[in-house]
Amino acid sequence: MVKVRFSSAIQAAANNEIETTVEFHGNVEALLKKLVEKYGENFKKRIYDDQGKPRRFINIYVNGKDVRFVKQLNTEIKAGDVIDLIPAVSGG
Amino acid sequence: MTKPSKLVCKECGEEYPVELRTACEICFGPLDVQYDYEAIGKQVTKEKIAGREKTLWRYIELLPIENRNNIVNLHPGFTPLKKADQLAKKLGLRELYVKDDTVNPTYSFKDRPSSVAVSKSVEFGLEAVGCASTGNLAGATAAHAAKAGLPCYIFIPADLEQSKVLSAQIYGPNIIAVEGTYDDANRIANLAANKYKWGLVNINIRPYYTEGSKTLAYEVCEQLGWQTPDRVIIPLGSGALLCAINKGFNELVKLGFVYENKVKICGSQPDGCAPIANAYDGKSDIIPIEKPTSIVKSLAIGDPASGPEALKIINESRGFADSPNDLEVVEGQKLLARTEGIFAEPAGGVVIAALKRKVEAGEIDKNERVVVYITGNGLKTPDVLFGKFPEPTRAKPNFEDVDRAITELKRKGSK
Ligand SMILES: Cc1ncc(COP(=O)(O)O)c(C=O)c1O
Ligand SMILES: [Zn+2]
Repeated sequence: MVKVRFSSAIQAAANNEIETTVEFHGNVEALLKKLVEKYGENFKKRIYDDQGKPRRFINIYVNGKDVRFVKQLNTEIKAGDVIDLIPAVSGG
Repeated sequence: MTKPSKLVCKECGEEYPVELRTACEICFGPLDVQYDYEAIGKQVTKEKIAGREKTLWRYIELLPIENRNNIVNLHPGFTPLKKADQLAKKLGLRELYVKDDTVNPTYSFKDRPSSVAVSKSVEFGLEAVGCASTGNLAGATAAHAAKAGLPCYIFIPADLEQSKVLSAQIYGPNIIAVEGTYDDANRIANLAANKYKWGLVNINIRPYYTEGSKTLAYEVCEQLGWQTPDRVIIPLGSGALLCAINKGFNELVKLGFVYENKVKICGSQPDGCAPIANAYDGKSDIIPIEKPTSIVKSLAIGDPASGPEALKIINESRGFADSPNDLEVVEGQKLLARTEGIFAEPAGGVVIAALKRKVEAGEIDKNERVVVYITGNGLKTPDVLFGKFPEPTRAKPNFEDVDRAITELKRKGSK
């Protein structure tokens, strides 16, 4: 099982669930597909841009590590991992 | 009083009412507060503003607070714009000004966004406020929370300067030191804001928060007799400050208070954490930095959320982004102090160093009217200067020995 947490506007796209657990192994890209199966078309439209890539204002973390510092969408996820989907907002 | 009219997504243009909202629901892009400039233009005049309180609240119609009673007022802003003739002479410039934001209530420009965001949190009826901070915002938010009588939760990277932590602790907030980078603290603050429904000023109050900083553009224009400078140099962390200052100039054009915004908007970051300047140099997208390494901790944001927007503004305004190293930063702090008598924190050194580099490279015309934004006070970060000066000359408590010391100093050629 892996745990996925959603924050603010992304939570709203995931039936307003703050977190969920899914039976899963594979990479980040496959996990997003799995979440689309779970939350449906609306979630898909929110998460992906017109080119079918995850939107640039979504930050994805695996166990607190930004996947841009690992292997982006190819980052592997294993049982027990915690994945966070958080809108990119920050400032000193 | 006029009211802000709506929130608009900067990415996709979706509109929302003025409400508690972190990001766009459609694309998760950042939200911008917009106003009815026509209505404001009918109500507010330069003369009216001139007679008002000497704080940023003199521009109340252009700030997103709907009821004056909600303002938490520590009297931030309307800081001096100082003509910097000594520094100008040294660099060979004709007209240089320092916008001295070291003299705000908690000694940095962060009192501006914080005052607006804490006031807005009061307006939303939130039970607690807080922030994720590289140091200065911590003190600003904690002080405003104290004045508002609200609990405060602050998330900082654990390696922050002790003096910065202390200058927040005096106001009595709850501080959580996250053992990681600023970006780690920010990510966790984001989850906490979502769970506890606090008003974390730079996270879920962010659209309102950045409005406070645009007063740095209004004030500079007002202090120049309602004229724009030719060029400004701004320290870059997340990039939010630079974007806000540019918005401020644009709004003054909309109101007809200044003629046009042709200001060359320039930014500077330390080379140990320069994702925006690197992208400017390499004409590439912004690549986040995992582990910043710089003495300029207040600007150590490796993943700048407003970076892409800041970069666009810099490019379109024909400004520049620069990234001096730590040595140049300290030299910049010293240069400003020794010509203008202003003690800036390293973020100010970053700006002065960029100014010097770009004048020397011939990229700044000597006849331009330049404004540098000095956004934090040096007394908050003495650590970076320890060991940087010779020990004071010692003497016995009698005039003969002191006179010997004076002769010694003169012999060494001291002024
Ligand atoms: C003194 C000082 N100047 C400038 C900045 C940069 O602001 P921003 O993160 O909005 O770019 C910060 C904080 O991040 C700061 O503490
Ligand atoms: Zn949007």
